[in-house]
Amino acid sequence: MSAVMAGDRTALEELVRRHQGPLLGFFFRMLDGDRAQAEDLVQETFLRLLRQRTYEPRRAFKPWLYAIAANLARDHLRAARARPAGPGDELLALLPDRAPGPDQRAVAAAEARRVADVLATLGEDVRATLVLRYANDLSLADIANALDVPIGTVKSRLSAGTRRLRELLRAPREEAR
Amino acid sequence: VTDADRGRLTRALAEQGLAGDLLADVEQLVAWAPEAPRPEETRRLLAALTPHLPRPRPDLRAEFARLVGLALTQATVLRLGFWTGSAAVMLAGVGLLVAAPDLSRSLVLLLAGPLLAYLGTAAGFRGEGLRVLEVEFACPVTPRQLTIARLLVIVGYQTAVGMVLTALLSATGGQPWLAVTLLVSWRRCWPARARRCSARSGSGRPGLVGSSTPPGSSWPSPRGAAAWRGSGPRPRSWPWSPSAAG
Repeated sequence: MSAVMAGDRTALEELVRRHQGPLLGFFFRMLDGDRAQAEDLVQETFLRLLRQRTYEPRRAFKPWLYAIAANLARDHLRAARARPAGPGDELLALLPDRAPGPDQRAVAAAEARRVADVLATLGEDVRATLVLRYANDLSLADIANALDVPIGTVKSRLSAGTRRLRELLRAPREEAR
Repeated sequence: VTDADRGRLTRALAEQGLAGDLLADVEQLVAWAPEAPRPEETRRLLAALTPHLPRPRPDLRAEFARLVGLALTQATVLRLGFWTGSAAVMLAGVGLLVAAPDLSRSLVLLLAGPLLAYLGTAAGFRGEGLRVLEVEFACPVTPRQLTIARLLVIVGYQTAVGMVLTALLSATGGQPWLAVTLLVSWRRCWPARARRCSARSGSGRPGLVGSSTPPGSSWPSPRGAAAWRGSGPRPRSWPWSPSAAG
């Protein structure tokens, strides 16, 4: 990261190569599976990374990166909640899943939709904690740093969130909605 | 979800004291992943980010170190005569003042200042016997760098010697005037000489062939000799004034 801040393009390429995928996964799961929006936020995360002059080489990089990402996701979700539903939103929701193909893919898509629905009911903070721990493999300390909460809070969110995740995933479909 | 993922998730659950039967549920969370970024997406992202890369700041310390290194290299060009000659002229001036306190200081300065400038020019920009000439050809420097580096060496050395002698004079009851006057003298004598020197060489290496005669040799010998022979213009003012020195 120090090399990137010194203007090294090769270092930037390496940084992007290493973190683009995990960041995309984080936003994808946080934003209800909206890949296009996740892509935009990945770009915005890197842009903020380059514009901020607050990076300290002694500080762990990953928590800093995901702190930016978590803030962006939070801002986006709040803005989406504040935005009144457009006339086309309900119609879009009624459209069939865009993943075409054989039955197996349809089932997989349905399961994915269910995970998305379940995650959406968990609340931003718990969702971010679960995604960072299980999908992005951040340590408890790194999650605490990224979300700016005590490590005890991370632990309690993880315990409660994981149990809730199981309840919702195993519950009849209607309950998760 | 790979076996590695499964192992990692199992450890994460165990760390939380959660039962292993939750594994299937967190596996679903991990399995719900977007398609990996395509190469064109990565290229697009890099294209958007590159203009925002911080521009490297000039490292002033490194620049200064480079300049000092260049000056030290140039110092090796100057022969022993320059170092001893400069010191001798100043020592002689101080000696005169110490030995004859009633002697006009202006007269001593009028002799010592331009003589030092002349000696510096002659030593710094002469061409014959430059020991690092090959190095300069192999690692070219710009005319400006070369001029600055040599001026730094010459002015620095002569000023340092002047300061030492000034301190000695002050310690023996004299007044600290020599260093200041030297600097003034340099300021009046040098720029035009350096410009002329670079212009003559065209390459910043004024002394290769043609300038074995010091380029700023308007003082004292050539003009004095010309005036003596009556074949050249008489100096209209003191020879070290800016108009005469150019």
